[in-house]
Amino acid sequence: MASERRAESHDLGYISRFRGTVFQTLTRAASLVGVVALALLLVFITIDAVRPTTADPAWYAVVVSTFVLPTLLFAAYSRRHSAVGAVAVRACGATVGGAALATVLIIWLGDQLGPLTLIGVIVPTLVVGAVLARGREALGVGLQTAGVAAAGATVATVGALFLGAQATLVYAVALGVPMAALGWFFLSRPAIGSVGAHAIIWAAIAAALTSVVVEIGSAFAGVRLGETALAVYALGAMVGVLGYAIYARAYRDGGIVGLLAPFVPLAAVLAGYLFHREFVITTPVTPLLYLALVGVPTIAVAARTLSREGRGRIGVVLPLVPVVGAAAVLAFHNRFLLTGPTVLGTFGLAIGLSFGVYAWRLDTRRGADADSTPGTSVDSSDGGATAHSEGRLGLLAPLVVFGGLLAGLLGARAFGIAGPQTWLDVQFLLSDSHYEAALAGLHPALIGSLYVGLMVAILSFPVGVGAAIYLEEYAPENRWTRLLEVNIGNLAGVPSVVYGLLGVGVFVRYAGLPLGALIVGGFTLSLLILPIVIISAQEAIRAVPDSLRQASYGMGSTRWQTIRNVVLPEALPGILTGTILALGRAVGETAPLLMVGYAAVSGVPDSLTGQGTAMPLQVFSWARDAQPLFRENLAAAGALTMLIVMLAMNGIAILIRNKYQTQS
Amino acid sequence: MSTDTSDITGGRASTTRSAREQFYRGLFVACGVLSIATTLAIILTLTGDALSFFSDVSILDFLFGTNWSPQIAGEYGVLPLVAGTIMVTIGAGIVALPLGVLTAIYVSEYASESVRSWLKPTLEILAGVPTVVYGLFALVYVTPALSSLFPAIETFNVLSASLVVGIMIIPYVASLSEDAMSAVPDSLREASYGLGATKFEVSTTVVVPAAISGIASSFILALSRAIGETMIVTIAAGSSAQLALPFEPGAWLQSMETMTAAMVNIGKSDVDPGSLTYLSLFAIGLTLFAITFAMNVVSNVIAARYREEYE
Repeated sequence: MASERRAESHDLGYISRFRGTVFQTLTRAASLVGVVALALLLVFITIDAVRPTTADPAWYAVVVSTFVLPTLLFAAYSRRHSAVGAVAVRACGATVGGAALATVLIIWLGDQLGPLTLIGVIVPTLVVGAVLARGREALGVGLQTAGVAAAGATVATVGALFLGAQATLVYAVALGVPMAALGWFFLSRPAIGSVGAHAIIWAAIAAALTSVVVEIGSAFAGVRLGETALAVYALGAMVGVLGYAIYARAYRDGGIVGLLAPFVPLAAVLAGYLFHREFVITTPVTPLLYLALVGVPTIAVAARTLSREGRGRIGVVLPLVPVVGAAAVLAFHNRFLLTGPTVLGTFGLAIGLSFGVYAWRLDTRRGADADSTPGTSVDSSDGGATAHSEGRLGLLAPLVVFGGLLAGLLGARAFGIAGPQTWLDVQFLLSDSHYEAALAGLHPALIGSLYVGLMVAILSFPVGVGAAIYLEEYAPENRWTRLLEVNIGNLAGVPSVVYGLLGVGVFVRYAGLPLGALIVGGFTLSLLILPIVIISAQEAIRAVPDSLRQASYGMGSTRWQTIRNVVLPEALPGILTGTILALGRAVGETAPLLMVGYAAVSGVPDSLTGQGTAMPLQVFSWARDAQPLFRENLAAAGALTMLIVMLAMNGIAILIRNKYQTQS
Repeated sequence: MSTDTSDITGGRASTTRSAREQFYRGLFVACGVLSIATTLAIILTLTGDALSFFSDVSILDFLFGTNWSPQIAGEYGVLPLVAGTIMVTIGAGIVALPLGVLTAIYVSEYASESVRSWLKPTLEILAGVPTVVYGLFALVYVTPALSSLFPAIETFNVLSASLVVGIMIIPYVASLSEDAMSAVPDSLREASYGLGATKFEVSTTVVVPAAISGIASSFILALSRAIGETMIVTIAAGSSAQLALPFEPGAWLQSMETMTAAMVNIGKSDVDPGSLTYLSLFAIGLTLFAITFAMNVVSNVIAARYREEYE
């Protein structure tokens, strides 16, 4: 700036700043257009959803005096005392988080199992998890055991959906037992084991490729191959083994017997197939399936952990907690209903827990600080102590802010002062669809969106991160890798409505799931956001400095150990940020869900193959309604709910990003 | 990699280790392959059903027919739908391209750090607003506002839909263009200042030309978003397929059906999944996929080929 001014005053002549100023103003105005549009959208939708003009002016006076003024005063105070401000913001955040959790739980449980599930399943799991987290080993053991259980449950559920419960059970047993025995044998004979493991992997890949080719070919030719196809797959597997034998010259290592290993799974699958064809299991299949796929592996992992030396063995109890809790809830849930006291109790419990955990952590951190600093210097530790006692005042912030709000609302109601006749209220969130606007609500759609969001998170996160790891850590620099990357970029640009057609074609027509099934929407949206998850995870992984990887390799780690212990923990915040943003997009998607047959008017989805529904579909249907009350007010209330969910997800993502950016 | 380790160290631990390394590698490869499988599945699904559609309706009638009336007249000319899509895309482009580039220039060249720190997340939110909410906004708020300017406007009209689609794609233009402008090395700017250029001259004659490949590819990507945008046009532009051209002023005020809106309208009506009408869904889908895919490829090529290389 200074040099420009000097140029003007010296004899270089007059330089017109007019064009520059106009241009700068123009760019600034242009960038405000988007912001203004967003603000208008939010304001108009909020006005139609909340209807602030219907409130008594006295109501505003009450709310301003009990909520706005105290909050402003507190804010002004904490501006001058930054320690208080920092604690206050976090304490309020913890309170809002607890309230949000309680709201989600109440909406979710609403008319079903009641908040007892909260008390029975989630709270004990969180508490046990928090207790375990005090010893890192125990938490690791707990997560590992719970992870095995969760993976087993996922395989069992998806398998039952596509193959049927009996077939899944038969194949799981037929494959699981001999494969476990084979693994045991491999460990005792490493030379054979190495060859055997490779041969099995090659056989599996070859069989999978063969099956893809055969399936596509037969679908195009319109032929059903039936049992012949199985023989062709087996042939493909054998070719794979042969290929491995030639490629690796396995016979030289003395492990040639290992080449026979692929026959074990082949025979197992054949036995399973024949058994499934010939016999029908008469005992209840589903419990057996879950016992075989969840119970047995979990117990095996737990037993192995318990048999070894080392700390943290107590962690194996973690998966038991939700099971016991769920059993207790199922036994008792009939006696509990969603009443005033239980709702208040849920809110109190959730807010109290999250606030309490924050306050407790604040306290222990203080303690740790005080322990570690006393010897250094008297002044600094004194200053630290006063800062601590000052900052602690910030814990009062939720009381001032939310307590004031609550007091104002309750006070206004007690004195009969009318608040705004808002459309977005408890009734709206807990009611089903209705032909009368005043009675209509978003409840089934909210639950549907919650389920879809959970499914998409479970399905797209591991696969997306896995693909990103492959591209960043394993893939060689060649044409195939470039093709893969370009392909992912292009997939991100495919219109979402086309993904809807993909969902119909693959999951409904080909896999035979019912049109409109909840899980079809979950699969479709997972494919839709997969490229976005992959790209953002790639960026996060790429940002991990190479020096960390080199150090890990230098200590003798293998590639997978480096990824698990160094790369992933370092990249996790970035990956989470990208995934949450992508999830926000999935929750807002309408067109693909319409194409796969989701309905706007429907009950709460009752199973994975039950009729799916989601918030955007309900908003879409209201926006098309002929009655102005639906089109303007109800649709606005639904849109506002979606915007709040979306802003909350964006906010969480930004918080995670900022927290870890400042740390590193 | 892993076979090397087992050769060097030998023994039991390294073998299980090698097997585990292979296992994880295979797992990650499978994740990557899934993306190729998705592309193949899209192409196969679309072409399979589109082919059976074209066995009943000739591809020429589909591509050059001027009447889209699948349920009533049984005519499947896609041109009116293409015209609707083109109108919406042109309108959105007129709104978003200049605004997006100017925003990018402001953020990259003029804005202070503090302005940037709230402006960029706000624009991100603009891209994250669910499209059904945008559609509601266009229908319930923008159209009534426009009707005070243009009394002849219909309830469902192209103008308000394309304005709102334009607002929706501003962030795509702005963020990709800004990335390209930020990638222009500071040494270029400083050299230009050293020659006596003003900030305006640096922005318009140095930064923008240097970033032009990024800006162009952002334009194409954003327009491809506008073409594929579904809910805004379905809600706000209505569902009457009409063949009109962008330079007819009256056309902007009337309802037109885009390709995506036609897909939604067929998809949510109760047509029999095997019927010709239902199969036409896949023919439109294939057309749409081909157009957006081509635009994405062109955008990649432009970004790669005309990129100015700096060290």
